[in-house]
Amino acid sequence: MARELIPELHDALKITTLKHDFSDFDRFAKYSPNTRSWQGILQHHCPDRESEEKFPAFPTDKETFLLHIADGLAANFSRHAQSFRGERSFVIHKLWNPDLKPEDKRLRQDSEVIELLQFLSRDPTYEEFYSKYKDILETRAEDARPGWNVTSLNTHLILTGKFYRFLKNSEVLKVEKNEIIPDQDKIRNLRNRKYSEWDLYLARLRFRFNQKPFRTRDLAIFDLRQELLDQIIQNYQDNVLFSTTDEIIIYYDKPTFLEDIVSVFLEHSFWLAVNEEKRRFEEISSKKLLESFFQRRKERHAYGDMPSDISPPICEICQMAYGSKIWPTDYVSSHHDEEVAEEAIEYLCDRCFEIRSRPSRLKKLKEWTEAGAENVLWVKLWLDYDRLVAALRELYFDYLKANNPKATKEDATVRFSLIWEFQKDFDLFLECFQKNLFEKFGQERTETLIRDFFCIKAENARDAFAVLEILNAYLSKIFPQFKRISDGPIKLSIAYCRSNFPFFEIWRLFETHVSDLELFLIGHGKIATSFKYLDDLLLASGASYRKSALFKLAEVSKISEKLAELKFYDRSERGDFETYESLKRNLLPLGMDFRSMLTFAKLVEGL
Amino acid sequence: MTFLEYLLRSDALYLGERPKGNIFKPCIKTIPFTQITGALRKKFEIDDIKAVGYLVEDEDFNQPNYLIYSPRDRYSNLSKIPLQVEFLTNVLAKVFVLKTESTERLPENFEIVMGGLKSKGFGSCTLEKQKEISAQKFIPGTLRVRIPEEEVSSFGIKRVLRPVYGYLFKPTPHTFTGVYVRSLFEGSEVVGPEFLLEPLGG
Repeated sequence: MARELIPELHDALKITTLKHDFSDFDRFAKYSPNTRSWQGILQHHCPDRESEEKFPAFPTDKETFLLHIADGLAANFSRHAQSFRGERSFVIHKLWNPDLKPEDKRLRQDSEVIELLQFLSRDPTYEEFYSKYKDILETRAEDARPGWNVTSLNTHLILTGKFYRFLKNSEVLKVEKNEIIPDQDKIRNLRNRKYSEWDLYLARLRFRFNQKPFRTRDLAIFDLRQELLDQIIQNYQDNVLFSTTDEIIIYYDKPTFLEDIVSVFLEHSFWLAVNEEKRRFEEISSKKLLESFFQRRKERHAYGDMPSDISPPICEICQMAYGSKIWPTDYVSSHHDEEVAEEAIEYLCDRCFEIRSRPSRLKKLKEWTEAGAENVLWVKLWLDYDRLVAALRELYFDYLKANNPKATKEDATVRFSLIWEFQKDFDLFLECFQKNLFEKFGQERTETLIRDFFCIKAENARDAFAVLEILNAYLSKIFPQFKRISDGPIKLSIAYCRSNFPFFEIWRLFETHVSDLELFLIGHGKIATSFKYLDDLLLASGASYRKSALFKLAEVSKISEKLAELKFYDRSERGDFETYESLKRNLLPLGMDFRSMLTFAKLVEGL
Repeated sequence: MTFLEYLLRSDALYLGERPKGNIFKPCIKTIPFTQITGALRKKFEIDDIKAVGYLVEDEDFNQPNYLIYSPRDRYSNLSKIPLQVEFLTNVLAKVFVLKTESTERLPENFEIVMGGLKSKGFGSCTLEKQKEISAQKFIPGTLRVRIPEEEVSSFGIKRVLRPVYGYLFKPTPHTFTGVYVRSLFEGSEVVGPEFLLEPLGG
């Protein structure tokens, strides 16, 4: 046997229509690969005595034993406790995109199964296996039982691989070779003993900063945060279960693991909201697993060094440390860069000085700001983890009810595999969104701060509608259910302003974002609405309005909003009134009040 | 522990944060301990006044606005680079003054001047007494105000659950200087008197 055991391959035969217990495998026996991974495929089961499931083999060494536990962990992180009968479905049902009905592409022909076995005999990596069978792995449900088919086989295999390597490399969760006695009962007892002894830690970390970025260079705080996050994802790729641009969920085996991560961020002047949980392995299979994790009351805030007082000058960017450096004097002398020499003097702390001293990536934004302040759109997509869990639970409950009217909310448990499944689609969504922004506005007008945060040089405020069109297209394609529910997990913030408008003011508005969509015309109002109304909002933006009526309304509102409201309801100017009636007809059903309608009118007018 | 609740109104208020890049001066969106306490102490010449406040959440009030002006250097008689200043208009806020032997004699209605740009007509505030609140009900919640850590017990903060820290300037009496003291900022989760908090969600 050549390569080591590849844990992700343990359920490779699930891409065929063969039975999982090998009861119909005999005719292919002569094609059985002679690899460690094949041993993993055969030996990763060890059901309880009372279980109806029977398998021809069980773990006989440390690696297959760990694979068995990893498979159990991944399954417990994903499978659910409903037990109702119904038709099996071997294709995934995406809770957020139920209209997507993938074809059951499992290998049915003997020749296809033989080809698979021959391929496995060549001892492929998982990447090679995935590349060949991607279509099946992404559409084949992890579990075909009714109501269980909400995650893909690929997700299960990836999670199993992560847990296997985690257990194999753990210095705390140890299995000695001499503990493995090749007897099914003894293996079962050993597993149960480890389950009752071993602890798994899970943490949700949210990374925050105190900096109030003012100059384009200060926006490097986002780069820094992303670099540190990428470093964690890179260094602990088997431990990370969920990640966005400002938070991660990670599991590990000892408390000191987390201290190392937290201290790296604290050293770089971030502060963290930390929610840490310790669970016995045997507890992980219980219902409500995810819902019971990360309750707000268990969260703590972690800060770095915080002296009780600071003598002036205080850092002008973070206002959390002594301003020991003078900008630009110290920068010019240390970097021999005269470009900033004329900038106003500011006192900065060491950390903020370091951030500002980084070479700025955002050349276009700098140019727009220096060229006499162009109009820009700040565009930020958010993924709210708490709302994600709540929304998935609702969608899952609806799905279970459709299969089984007796299903209860408690049955609709959202687990990490579902989150992982969602994250794959969310990453795709972000990719499509970014690609389309570039296509629509062109590279020269689009600046990427991080993968979910953009700045676009705008011709006028109406460009916001083009952003909404892109959002709408990809919500409809990838997450149509989030257009049907309130308080979905994805949010979009847009702000239209001059490029020299202080960024931290925009950031403050974005950080307190509540509705699905919030659109700020800085100094001119705000529209907050749900994605439920996105189609209607875009339809309303394309309706025909008398331009002069919108202009008058916007101009009057500059003097007095009350006067504008009076005009809005005044029937005496018939032409204008028709436009206002049309606005009311289009926007009142979307729950907009006069102030939002006024903002909308300004937006349509292009401001 | 009793507090005197006042309603504060002002046409235009600038509670300055540190200027940014010497070209933008943002405005704080709450009424910190240092600002309101300083203004009241100055008005009544009483040293043991302690007060905090927060802006009322209502879209008809407290809207940010922007002013551009060029401060003149008194020595060179030259205008500096134009500054963009953020200020609040139509301000409505609640102010809570710790009741003591001195503060219980504060009038029902009075005026103070608070914040920056006073020479431009900003900062004139009227305060109207609403009621006295006895801090008896302590709940977990999100702090609406900014209080120096050394003063939290004066405001009935029993426990800090999850702090959001920042620094507030504390002037040194009879000098033109001071220090920045570690403070609890709005958003901190604490156990404290109901009227200073928003209930914890979820």
